[in-house]
Amino acid sequence: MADPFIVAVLAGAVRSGTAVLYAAAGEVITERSGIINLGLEGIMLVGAVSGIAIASITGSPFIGISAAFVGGGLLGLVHAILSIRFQANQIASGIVLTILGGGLSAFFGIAYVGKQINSFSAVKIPFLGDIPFIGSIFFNHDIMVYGTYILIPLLAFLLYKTKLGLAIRAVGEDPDSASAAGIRVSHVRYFATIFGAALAGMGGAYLSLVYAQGWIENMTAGRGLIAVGLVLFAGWDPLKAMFGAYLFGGAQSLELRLQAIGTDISPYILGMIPYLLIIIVFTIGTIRQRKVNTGSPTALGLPYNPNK
Amino acid sequence: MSTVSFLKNIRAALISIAGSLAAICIGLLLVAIFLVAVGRNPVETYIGIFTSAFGGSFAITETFVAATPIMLTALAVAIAGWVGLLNVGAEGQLYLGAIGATMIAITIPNAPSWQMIPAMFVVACLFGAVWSGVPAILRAKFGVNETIVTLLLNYVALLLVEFLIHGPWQDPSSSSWPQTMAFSDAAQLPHLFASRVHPGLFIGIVMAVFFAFLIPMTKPGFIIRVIGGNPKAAAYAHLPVVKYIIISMLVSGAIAAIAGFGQVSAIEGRLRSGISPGYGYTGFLVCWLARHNPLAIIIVSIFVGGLLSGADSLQLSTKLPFATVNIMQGTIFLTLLMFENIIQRFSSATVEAKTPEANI
Repeated sequence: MADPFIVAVLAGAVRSGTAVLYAAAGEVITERSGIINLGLEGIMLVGAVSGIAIASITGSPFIGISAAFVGGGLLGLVHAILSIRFQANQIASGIVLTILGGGLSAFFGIAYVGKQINSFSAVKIPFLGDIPFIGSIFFNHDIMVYGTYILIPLLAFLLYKTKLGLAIRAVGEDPDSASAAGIRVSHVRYFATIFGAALAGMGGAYLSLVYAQGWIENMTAGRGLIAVGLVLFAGWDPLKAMFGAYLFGGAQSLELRLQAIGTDISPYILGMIPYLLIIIVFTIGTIRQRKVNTGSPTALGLPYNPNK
Repeated sequence: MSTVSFLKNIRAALISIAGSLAAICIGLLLVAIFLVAVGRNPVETYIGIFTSAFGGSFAITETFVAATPIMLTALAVAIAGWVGLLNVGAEGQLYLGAIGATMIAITIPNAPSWQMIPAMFVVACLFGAVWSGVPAILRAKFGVNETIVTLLLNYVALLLVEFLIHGPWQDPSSSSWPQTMAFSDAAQLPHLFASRVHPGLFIGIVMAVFFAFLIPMTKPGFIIRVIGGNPKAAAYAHLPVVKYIIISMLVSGAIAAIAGFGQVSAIEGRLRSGISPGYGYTGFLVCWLARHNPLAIIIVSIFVGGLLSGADSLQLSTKLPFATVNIMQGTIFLTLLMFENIIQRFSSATVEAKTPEANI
């Protein structure tokens, strides 16, 4: 009954969306603390290249992913220092990181063009994977996809149910009051920015190690920005970000499937669909956000100056 | 202006220049460490960049060639910035300008240049304005953040170019190369001083000077400053905020498009995908470092143009990959951004135009 084309598109949506999901989930945490990180594009690229470099040296994709986590986090640290310590404009800092990350990844990526690596293979989950339709869409993937099934609820729990989550939301909402309540605003923001960037690094590594299984210069192709756009659409909520990421993944998966079965439409025109979709979704998200506040952190993008 | 405030301004300007130079030195030092780490001689590299950027008349003209699209896109960013908008889409608007100019050049290839060049110019500007008009309207009508939309449209613009040069506009005589046919002589902007310098440079300089007068000295300039400084107050005062936001963004896109027109008409002589190695993004940062000051944009563009053209020719002679240029650019911008805060603390007396803060 389930049309194999639809199943393939939807399973592909989960795969395509996963890289963006890691980045968007990280950005949710970062933005909730009041820091906007537009440098995700460069951070994902650095994650992609450090992932493939370390994986090909050690032969282990697990170590590759960990390296991407660290590499992304390091670039996040740069953004944190610029926007917290030096109170630089966060958008400008994000563009700097995009250029720097693009340059670093391209420089070190040259050695890994066309290199074969060990990747994660798809593992069907017993029982769940056998459920008709749903099973093939969600439960016949690699371990990094399954990782998001655990990560996203965990992040939601962290954000809404723990003291740390409360601190993150407090410094993003009203840093002055948070500070008065004894929360170290800068410390929380450093953590949220570095952790968010580290997750984006993992998203980049998912692209190079699993999705494309190789390094291509600028392979993120705007996914870092798409992640930032999705965060607003998702109302700064990890679970809704998951939905948004799969929506993007769906557009991309549909595009690839249509190309695979052969269509007269130019691949370049099809390639525009995900970007245009995100612009539409972003617009809808904004309009809704203005009607009912869906949780925009009030202090987002504003430097916190305790001495003012 | 009183003598005291005049001296304060001079002092602020000096601190600003000294601080920027210090930041650039630290940036170069960091890049030098990187170069040593990857087994290169930094002194040799820097001397190479300097001589290929400013040593001799050919080098200098090439610096101006690279500075042209940077200056134009930086001005585009500044115009949006004055009304409080972040236009990070100059790269896409540049490509739309290139598409517009190309459309005219290949549809009326036999037109004489007095018809051809103005038509290319106008259509390029129109296309660029359409590309910035979309985020402008979304912003003015629905409050949609223009940063994300302008950035995403950059990718759509690139795909549009790819579509055209792989499809309907591909040169039939070179079917393996994704590019349009070469423009007729009438569609090529004249070169000046026996170099590749073209009129785009002077358009950029004239426009910068024009805005340097418009913004502080005229009534529209005053309204723009009020809107950029405090849009809510401007709305309460019944200033036409929406109109100014949309017009500024349209002008912004049109000016970025002139950069694309110059690249296809004067530099490449045809449309292909590599006409800009990210000039729009560089322009964004240049504008930021010039603090949205049009005259400072001229100077910073020439400096960054020199860096790009120097590093570019170095890549040919020493086989450093092109990515090194972006690493260098990124690092120097990074240290400049860091110093920004320190400079402002020391020169708090400056009366600079307010640069917009992020508002998401």
